Amino acid sequence: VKGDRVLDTGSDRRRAAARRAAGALAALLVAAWALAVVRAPIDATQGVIQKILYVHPACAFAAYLGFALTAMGGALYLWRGHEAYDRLALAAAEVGVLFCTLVILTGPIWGKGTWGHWWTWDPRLIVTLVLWFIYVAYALLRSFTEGDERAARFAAVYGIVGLAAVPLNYVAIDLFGDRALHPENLGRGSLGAGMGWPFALGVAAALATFLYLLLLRLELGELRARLLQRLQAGRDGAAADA
Amino acid sequence: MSYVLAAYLLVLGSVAGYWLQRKREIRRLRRALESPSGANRG
Repeated sequence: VKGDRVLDTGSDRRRAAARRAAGALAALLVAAWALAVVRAPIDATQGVIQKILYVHPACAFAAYLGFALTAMGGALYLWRGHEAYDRLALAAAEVGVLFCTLVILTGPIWGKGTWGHWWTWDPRLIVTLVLWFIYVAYALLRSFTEGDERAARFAAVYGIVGLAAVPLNYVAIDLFGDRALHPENLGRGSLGAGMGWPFALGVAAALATFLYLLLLRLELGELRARLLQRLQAGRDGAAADA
Repeated sequence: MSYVLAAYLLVLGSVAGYWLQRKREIRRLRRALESPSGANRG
């Protein structure tokens, strides 16, 4: 198959346009968010370190979205059997793990500045770590078993079951009440004056960046699948000639 | 202040690193697919 026919189909062009639009939106939101963070007021209690608030939960929301899409892609793959759904599940898990890693790294920096230590065995921190391990294991499983249909089906079930850790992660603080050290989930009116916009822009920028990286990762998955297909066709042709 | 800078640089750097790595991989795969014998180099 000629390269231009392989790489320049109508759907490829539409996908590339969607990816570029998501990239432009993400860049715009990141710029607005950076400006809003710089201009945000300094918290009277915590001081400047409180500004980590504008990035830490935003990364958590992007990770949650990634893991929800992993479960959705897995469920659709089990139902319909299309490889595209499996690729969506894998791409969402990988980008979700990136954001979950950032949650696990930014949290201790905030903790060191406010609690005085990098880590504590708080329920929210433990469940976040478990969540991270669940999806790192998912990504590792997929990297060791690329192209294996049975592994894809197993991973789909695993991704659906693993999603249970997301709501558990969110409510972990409420479940353990006073024993939880991590601040409670944000509610209406819990942010000080001038802190709402940088927070909202942080969430929007993280979600737009997530979307852009997801589309990029989907393109990579599609190209890998085409290459595998070509390799397989080449092997089949060589076997037929022999 | 240094903790805040560290957190933001970590986030921006990690996202940029992931983006660059994936873009590079996409370019490599595209090159492999564009060449008639490219499948062997993929």
